[in-house]
Amino acid sequence: MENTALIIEKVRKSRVKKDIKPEMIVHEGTITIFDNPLVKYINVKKNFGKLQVLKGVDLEVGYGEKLTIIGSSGSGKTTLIRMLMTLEKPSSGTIEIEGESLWTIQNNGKNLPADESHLKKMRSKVGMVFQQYNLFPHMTVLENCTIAPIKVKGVDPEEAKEQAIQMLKRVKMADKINNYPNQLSGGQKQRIAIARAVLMRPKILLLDEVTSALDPEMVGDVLNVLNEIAQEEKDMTMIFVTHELDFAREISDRIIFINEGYILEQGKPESILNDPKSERLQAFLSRFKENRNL
Amino acid sequence: MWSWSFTFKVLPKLLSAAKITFIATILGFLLASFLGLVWTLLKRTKIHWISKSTTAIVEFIRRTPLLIQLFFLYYTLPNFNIRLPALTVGIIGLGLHYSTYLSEVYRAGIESVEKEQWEAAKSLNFTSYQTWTLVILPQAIPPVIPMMGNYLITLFKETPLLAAISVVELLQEAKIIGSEYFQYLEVFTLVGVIFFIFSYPSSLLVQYLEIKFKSPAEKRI
Repeated sequence: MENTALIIEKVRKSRVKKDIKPEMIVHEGTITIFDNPLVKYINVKKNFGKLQVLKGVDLEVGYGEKLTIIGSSGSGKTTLIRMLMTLEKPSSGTIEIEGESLWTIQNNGKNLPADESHLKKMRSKVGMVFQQYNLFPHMTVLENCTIAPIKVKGVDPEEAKEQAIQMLKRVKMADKINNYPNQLSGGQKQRIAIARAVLMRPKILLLDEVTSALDPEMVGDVLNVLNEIAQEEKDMTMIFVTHELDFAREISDRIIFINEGYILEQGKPESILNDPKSERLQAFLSRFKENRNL
Repeated sequence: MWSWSFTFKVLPKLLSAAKITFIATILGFLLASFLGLVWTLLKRTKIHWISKSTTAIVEFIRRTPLLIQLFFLYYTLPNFNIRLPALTVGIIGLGLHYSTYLSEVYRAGIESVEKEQWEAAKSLNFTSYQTWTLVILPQAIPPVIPMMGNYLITLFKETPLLAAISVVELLQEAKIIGSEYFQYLEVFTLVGVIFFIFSYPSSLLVQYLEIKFKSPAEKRI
């Protein structure tokens, strides 16, 4: 593994603009540098006890970018996005959102651990959809979708209801607003979880293996909804962790392959999926092709 | 031996003393429910000395007899210039003692809520107060309502201990009447019957609630 800091330095010196997004500067190596990144990971490491899951990740994500993270299970891809939602704390390194450190605050020139008010401010820029939906079982579909806008953002209840109904139409669940989650299928629950997260209007929406817990026949519905939302919400940055490679190819501006705690390869979907450079990625992709042919 | 006329003569007196028993039960239980939740939340704070000292206090109260606590409150509070009616002291004693049991019940309820619910609340940027009141407690409490009901019945059956600190509740009234007429059979039988009449239907209600809340897993997602 080449020293990451060196790579970044090299990239910075030889930046070449390409035409994916006006502000985006693409390097088909292990990192893409932005003039004005929305999210920035700087040498981020994460240990769980003795196990080091992330061994030094540098990653920048742009405004409005649709990014997909792929990698085998245990490679650290879920941990990477959970840290952005403040569900995990990095063991070392820095994560920035809009140039502001997520986990530390400045006080008289000293770096202190972030307090709850700072975390709350930063969290308002991020939303998340979980593998297990995590809807609130004691609330109806409509309540699930309106409670946070009303209580957290102070939206007027009538207006929150109106917005929720519009959003539930987009995910094709408007006929279920008075149902409880336990009356719905997995695919339906996940579409509501997506609506609930989007209604908070986060700048960054994290989607953690949102189709992995679903029966195969429901995966398509959820992916269609996600595809529509990704098309319509141009300003919303979306970071997907997924094993649905065809979906990733269609939806992503960029794909990242994470392996054993490092970003091993990254780039445009075509180059990652059609033309993998590393042996690890080649092996990873061929495993998927085999599975599909079964 | 058994005198029906005597029975009907003392019944109104006993029933009016039963009112005191009910007041002590209801208010004691309300206090216990409130304090129990306070203990549980304090035990879970991240501020170490608060959680440790709460645990120590709760363990101490739970591991010592209620009767001693009642005596302690009744005879030592006046030393601190706190003069309360015996019934009030009794309610505080019952509430305090049972709060330590209810604290464990709440803990069980809270731990039954999946950790993903906390994460969902965080992802929607709830404050910790909102997370507790909107997400965790509404899911934690219903499944433990039957357990709470059992403690309510147990507390009810322990109210005769208040007789020891001169509260004229059901048992104390029975003793007074008995010694007045030198006739104990009817009064103590009635006391037993009155306790049974209220505790048995309550236990049936708890059984019903247990069935009603039996499968919290099915209610989860």
